[in-house]
Amino acid sequence: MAGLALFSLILMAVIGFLAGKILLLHRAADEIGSRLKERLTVDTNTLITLSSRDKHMRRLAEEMNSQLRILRKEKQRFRQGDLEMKERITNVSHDLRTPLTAICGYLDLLKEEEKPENAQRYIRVIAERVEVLKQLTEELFRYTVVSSAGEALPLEEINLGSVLEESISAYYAALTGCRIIPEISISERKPVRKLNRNALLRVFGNVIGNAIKYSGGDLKIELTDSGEVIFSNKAPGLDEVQTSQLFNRFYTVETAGHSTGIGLSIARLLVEQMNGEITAVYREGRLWVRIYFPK
Amino acid sequence: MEYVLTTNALCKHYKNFKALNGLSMHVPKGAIYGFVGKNGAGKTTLIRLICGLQPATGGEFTLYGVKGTDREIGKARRRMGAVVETPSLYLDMTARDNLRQQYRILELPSCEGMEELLNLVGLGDVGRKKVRHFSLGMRQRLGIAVALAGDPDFLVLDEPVNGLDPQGIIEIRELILKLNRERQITVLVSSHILGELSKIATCYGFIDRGVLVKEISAGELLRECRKCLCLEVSDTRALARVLDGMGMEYTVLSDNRADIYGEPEITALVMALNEQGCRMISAKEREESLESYYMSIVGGGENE
Amino acid sequence: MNNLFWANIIRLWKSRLMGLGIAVFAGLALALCIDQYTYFGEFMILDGIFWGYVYIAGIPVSVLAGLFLGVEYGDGTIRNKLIAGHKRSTVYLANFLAVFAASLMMSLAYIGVICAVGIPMSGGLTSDWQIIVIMLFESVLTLGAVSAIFTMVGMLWQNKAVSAAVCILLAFGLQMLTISVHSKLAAKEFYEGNVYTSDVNSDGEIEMVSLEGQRNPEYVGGTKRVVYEFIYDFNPVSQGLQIADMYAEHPKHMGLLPLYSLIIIFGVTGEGIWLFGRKDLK
Repeated sequence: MAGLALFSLILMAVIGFLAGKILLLHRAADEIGSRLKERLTVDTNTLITLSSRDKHMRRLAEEMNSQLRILRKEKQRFRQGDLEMKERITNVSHDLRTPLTAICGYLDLLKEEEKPENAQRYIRVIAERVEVLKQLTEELFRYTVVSSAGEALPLEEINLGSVLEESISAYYAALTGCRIIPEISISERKPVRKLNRNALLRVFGNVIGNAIKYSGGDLKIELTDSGEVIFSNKAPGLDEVQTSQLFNRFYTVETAGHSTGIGLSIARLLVEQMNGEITAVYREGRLWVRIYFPK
Repeated sequence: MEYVLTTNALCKHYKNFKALNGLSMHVPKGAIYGFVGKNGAGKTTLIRLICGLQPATGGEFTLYGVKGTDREIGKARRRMGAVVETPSLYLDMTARDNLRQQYRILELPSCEGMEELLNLVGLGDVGRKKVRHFSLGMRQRLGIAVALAGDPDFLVLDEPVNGLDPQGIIEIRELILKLNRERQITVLVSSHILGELSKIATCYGFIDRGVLVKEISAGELLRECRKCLCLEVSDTRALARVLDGMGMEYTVLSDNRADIYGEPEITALVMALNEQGCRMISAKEREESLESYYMSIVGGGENE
Repeated sequence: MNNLFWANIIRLWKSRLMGLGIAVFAGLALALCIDQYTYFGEFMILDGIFWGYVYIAGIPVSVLAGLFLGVEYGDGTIRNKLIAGHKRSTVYLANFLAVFAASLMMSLAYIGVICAVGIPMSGGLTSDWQIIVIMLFESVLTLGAVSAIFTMVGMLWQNKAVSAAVCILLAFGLQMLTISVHSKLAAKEFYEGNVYTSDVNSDGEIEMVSLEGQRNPEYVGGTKRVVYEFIYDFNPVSQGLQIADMYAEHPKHMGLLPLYSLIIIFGVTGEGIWLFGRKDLK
């Protein structure tokens, strides 16, 4: 009798031990799973830890950790590379300014001089091109500043309609110069959002500027009640593929003459920094650029 | 702006002494935050509070979005490493054993990366020496290694260069910069030695008597520091007449040298001096030192 | 907590405190065996010295706890555990379990030596195996109570020297209490009655005189006795003595003593965790 009791006791102990071990292994597996998920979603340096001491589980966690380490190194390398490239671009655009300023200065002098018709024409063309060069370097420089902005944009309550009108009037001369009469419709509701005034001006300016360069002759600007700003224009030289790449950093739409593509990338960066979204769609021969800031 | 640490009117009262009296600070992600204050201002107390060594008597703080009183604060703390006052090391163990203990405490599955870590802090060749026989500089470095064992995102260093020789100070400074740049580690460094901090900090928090008197980024600080134009002229009396006329603040140092506080228009100044028959020999711009800026926002209280 | 516990154990081992404790216990076991053998030879009763570990555990465990936990404060390493994100209760429990495990290891060493050396000498234990199992179980609980008390002392004092001193003083205090209460309780109620032959009396005869048992003035009675008995049962060191003296027949061993030990373990540890949770650390 006593022997049987002892035997059943030992059996129970063994079963209890095994059950416990299985439970612990379950918990360890769950832990590893959730920690891995965290490490992949949050930007952190930490690696997977686990409370179990089971050798096999630890080996599994260590395998994952070595992969996480590699991932971490790649992330760091990318960041470094990105930073260095931005630095280089900033330096180049800086260096470009000096000779450009000198060129402009001498061009101004040249304009004053007495010269034959041909020379005058040539100088005009050179001056225009130099102007384009200046704009390009400006955009390049501003791009690196914006995309590596460390300090956040200060935000304030802004009436979308009034800023939009301001942008339009700033470009009105350029628009009419290209024989584009903008059709404007601004919502009565006067939607207001928390944004940065200068950034918003630049966004609208860049989009309008882009429309001026590529429009087939018209420009429709609409501010809806829900706070959407929609720019649309005829775009004969465009197709769906190019539209999807419009905001891409260094993608330019080739046209006969001017090709600057960064303006829209800057616009997108700024919009996203203000927690908005900007999209471009090509439909029925028209380019639609939609900017939206949620409340 | 993402903040690693924010405190909101944090208070810590001891029996008859208020160490922290409503301290509100914000440490941005990726920054090297220079925590400046004289001895006894409350720097170490604040660090103790966020490390969980002491409970706050008032106010609250948030670490990686988790409140200090939350149950999950332990998880948030897992992302930080700290050296508080003196490094926490087992004196009777070797450097490697100390690190192994830390890996166990952090529940890491292996000691992978230990040698790399020791080399990073410059203790690669320390052998089996017990910590008891380490110099102060070596202990500081091992303390930092222990704090880095868990690959933290946030490093808190309480007076890390206290008692170090100049070589050690430079090495620690370089290490902090490296960690911040390469591993994106946010660093909170407290010190009363402003000169050192000014070389690495990207933002500052000035603390005095348990309150954060001013919180400012390095860029803003540069702009706010009073600029001073150091002039060498042929006759400072003439200069004084001109400057009075312009309504500028200045100090005359000698017959030939003077400091102008403010930014006068150089052409106007030179033309005016020329009219008086005074030549400007040289002009240098200098910034108010960090020390004098600190004294200006804090020092007044000493005389109360 | 798993990892914290193991970190503690490894540190205990590396610091040679545990090794020392084991050596002390093993040595004592050996000494007792030899001592008994020289007096009683083959007829030595192993059961008498088998349970010695419970009684002597007090002082070594207090020293171990005081030193082991004192280092954490002295070197400041307890901060690492908190900064790593562990809860205060987890840190406390891991420390308590480490001290408890150390006391069990030392006791195992003692038992091991007793068995290895004593069984060949004496032929084995004479008690029933059921009693042995019960007493083992109780001795574990008593060791737990001892560990709990000294863990609390060690965890609540930041000064390494002070906590070590308090631990030892407490250990000695409990020891003294045990001895004094034991002697008080041991006093029998009555002197034994005697029958003896007297000298030749006046009639010239030899008489059988019987003296009734007299009341022993040293005897402690009534409520005082109840109080003393409670102290005697509650004090873990006294429990150790009781076990060592093999009061196994006493029904108290079935329920009361283990219950007291459990109360101490949970009460003291709970209190310790609560106090530790509120403590300001440097």
